[in-house]
Amino acid sequence: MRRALAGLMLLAAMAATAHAWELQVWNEFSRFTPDGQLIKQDWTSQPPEPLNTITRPNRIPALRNGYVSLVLLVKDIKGGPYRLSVSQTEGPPVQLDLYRAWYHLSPKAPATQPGEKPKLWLPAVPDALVPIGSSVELTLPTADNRVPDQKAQMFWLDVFVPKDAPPDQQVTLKFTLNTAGFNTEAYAVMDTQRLAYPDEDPITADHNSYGIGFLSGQYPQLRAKVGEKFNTSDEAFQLMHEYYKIHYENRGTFHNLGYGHSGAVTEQYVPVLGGYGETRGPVDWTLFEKHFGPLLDGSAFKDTRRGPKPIDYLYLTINPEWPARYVLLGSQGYETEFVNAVRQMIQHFEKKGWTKTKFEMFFNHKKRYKGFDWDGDETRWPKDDVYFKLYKRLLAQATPRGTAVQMIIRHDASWRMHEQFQSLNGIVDLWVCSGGILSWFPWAPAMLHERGNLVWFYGGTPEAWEPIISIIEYPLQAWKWEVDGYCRWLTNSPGEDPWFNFNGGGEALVYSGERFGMEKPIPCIRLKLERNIIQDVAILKMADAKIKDAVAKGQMSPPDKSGAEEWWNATPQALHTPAAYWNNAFFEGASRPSVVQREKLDPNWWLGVRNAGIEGAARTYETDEEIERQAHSPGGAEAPATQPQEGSHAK
Amino acid sequence: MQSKRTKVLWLLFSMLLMGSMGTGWLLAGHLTAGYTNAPSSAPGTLPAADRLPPPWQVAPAAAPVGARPVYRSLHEIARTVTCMVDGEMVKEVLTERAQEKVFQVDPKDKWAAGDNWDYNHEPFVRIKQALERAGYLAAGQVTCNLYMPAAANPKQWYLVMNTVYGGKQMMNSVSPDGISGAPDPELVQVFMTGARLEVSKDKGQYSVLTPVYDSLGQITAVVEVFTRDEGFVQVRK
Repeated sequence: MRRALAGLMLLAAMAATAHAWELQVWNEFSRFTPDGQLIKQDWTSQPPEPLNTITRPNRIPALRNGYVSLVLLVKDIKGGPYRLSVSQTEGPPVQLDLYRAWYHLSPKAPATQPGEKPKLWLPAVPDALVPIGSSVELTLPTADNRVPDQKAQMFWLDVFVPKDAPPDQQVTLKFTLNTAGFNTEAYAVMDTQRLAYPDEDPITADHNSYGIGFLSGQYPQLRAKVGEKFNTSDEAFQLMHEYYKIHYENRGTFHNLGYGHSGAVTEQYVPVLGGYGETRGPVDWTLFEKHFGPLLDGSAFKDTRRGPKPIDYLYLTINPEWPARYVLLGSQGYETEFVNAVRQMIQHFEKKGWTKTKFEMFFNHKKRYKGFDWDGDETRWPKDDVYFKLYKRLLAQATPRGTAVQMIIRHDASWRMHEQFQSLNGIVDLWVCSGGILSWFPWAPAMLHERGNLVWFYGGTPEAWEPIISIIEYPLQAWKWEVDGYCRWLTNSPGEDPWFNFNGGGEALVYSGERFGMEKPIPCIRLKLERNIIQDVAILKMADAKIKDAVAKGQMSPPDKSGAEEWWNATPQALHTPAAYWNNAFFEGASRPSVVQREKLDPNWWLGVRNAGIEGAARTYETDEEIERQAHSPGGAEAPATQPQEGSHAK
Repeated sequence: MQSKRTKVLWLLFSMLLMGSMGTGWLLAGHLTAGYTNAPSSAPGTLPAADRLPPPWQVAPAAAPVGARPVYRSLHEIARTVTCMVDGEMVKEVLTERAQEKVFQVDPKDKWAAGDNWDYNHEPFVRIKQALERAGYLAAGQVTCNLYMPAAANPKQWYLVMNTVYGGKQMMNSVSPDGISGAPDPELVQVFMTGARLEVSKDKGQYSVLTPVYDSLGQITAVVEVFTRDEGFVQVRK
């Protein structure tokens, strides 16, 4: 009797404990605090519900050649060890990547200056995603994350639907949670679509970085293992390739500058130069080729889902100090050194067959860094334009006639972009414009495209503390503005201690994986969401023609409920004054908050836009032949008319 | 045969005599001109260093006896800088507007100093090229940083320009915009005395500070000739 009672009590205790465990499936925009609550600032309308309600299973449209993402949440008041696994039970094979979300801790709110609005802040926010395959055994609270009173662990699931998956099939995923006395399952059901995401990105989501120092400093163990010569070691090059890969796999473009404001180049980014005057030129390509060879022929990406492909853009290290020596500036010697060295570089690129990449001559220096007497970046003074003309002439002289190598001049413009569109007409090929200032010139993208130029805008990265919808703004703005892309100015600098003294991650979209035993970067929620939005933009661009027509005929409202004009700002009255008289206060009053902020939009709105886009694109490709052609064309939709012809520059 | 050899000897002797006379004449003229500003010196002797106008009073001083090779090299560059860099032109490097705006405080525009930082192209290029050329005297990598007091606020200095190798030991605590700040005492010392100074604040980093003079013999700027252990032995390419 006593034994029976003890047994019953044990069962009751297990049941009481066990039934507290929960496994929930949510849409990809759902973020949770460590106590299992939805992050409030993410939702301005009705908060979402779990997708795994058995009586009302959600059917998720799964376009081929792309990702569907879900959030899983494991909850328990008391915690303990558990096992979470994901598997596919039905449908054509898909690939599953499960990640554990890391809660970034920050002990206190960031300081604000007097008169400044307090920043949004969370003491613990999920962002970095630690890869864990398709199953994991953990304990709640998660020991290494050191979250006080953690009651829930958030996971991210990427489901990759291959391009060759048959359409109109049901894919069922099973999620299993095993604990000491309780097992539970949940399901998600997806339908493969006839549409496929294009291979080519609809817009360039450029993720910028400034040299190997920004990356290698985040890998102290790897550096210690390799030793003093780390920066030129195979391990260092492999690490840099991993950065290119993670951005590429997530539909981003990684840019990594190889010289500083003084003009000093980093040895891993350049051929060794020899000689002077007529003999100035590359004499040793070893490090350059180790670094860039696999990126320029695409082989660095051979084990990615998107497959091998040469990088679209590469910063060259050409600057006023390299390859010609500044000490000779103004002399024949300077021009001879520049032309000879650059010509040999172009010839080398051609010999190697590196003709798919746009090699950028890009001046990043500013006067305030005291190295040069003109602003290569964000030029404010008209007198500085003369240097762009000089280097354009020298580049033209250096470029062999008929070369297939694409040499372009990129300029990051702000203060005087509206003047420079004229003064540097024929000089600049890629305009990377301050988003705030470009917002005053809705006429500019079409005008620049007419010339065969490319247009991006630049800006920052939303902090993880901001409403998650913020990550949508740039891809959507690029689509609305009909520009070719955008540049986030720094995306690989997560701060000194992103794990326990987080700064919000406003300069990071990836984190070092070293803490988790990986000698490579790991992604984050914002990077994954940005990728998903870029997928959506691809679909919206495909649907554009039909949607615009339907909207014009009053048959449907715009999918995002806002006209393009809402994304532009009125041209400030003071624009007629020279930029020399402007100051930063002038800018503050001249740009409105984005449509997303003004309208207090949230992910529910975007999910509606996504569905409208899919519907619109499906109308565009009506026959099976059209669908099949679309699925297997690199660009998905018709190739954008704004892409310049290969090798069109400086012939 | 004998007369032919004699003729050759006479010819050589005549050439030697004429050459000596010419050299003596040229040398005599130069010395006369050189001594014009040093009347108190005895004929045929060099004046004391403190009797010469700047920059000669400082520049010819070689590296201190027993100086380490790295400092010996930096001193050689520093004395060349003092001789060759024109302090008059240095005063023309910054635009008037930049100098006016650098200390105008605007709470709504905290980046104003940097946004208005601006140069006159010609003097900038010429001064920077002079600094780079001086740096070539070292086999390895050397940077020359030029500092000067702000005309509008002499207690504040700014780094006016640097050269390609990069790095410095002076003015590492400047305003948030990186434009101006209080000078290090070593900069002020060189500015006030005109005497070159060795500085090593951090292990493996070496600087020699040296003055730059204008046409009135006033010090207008100080140049930091800087290198590091690893850069000093690096072959320049």
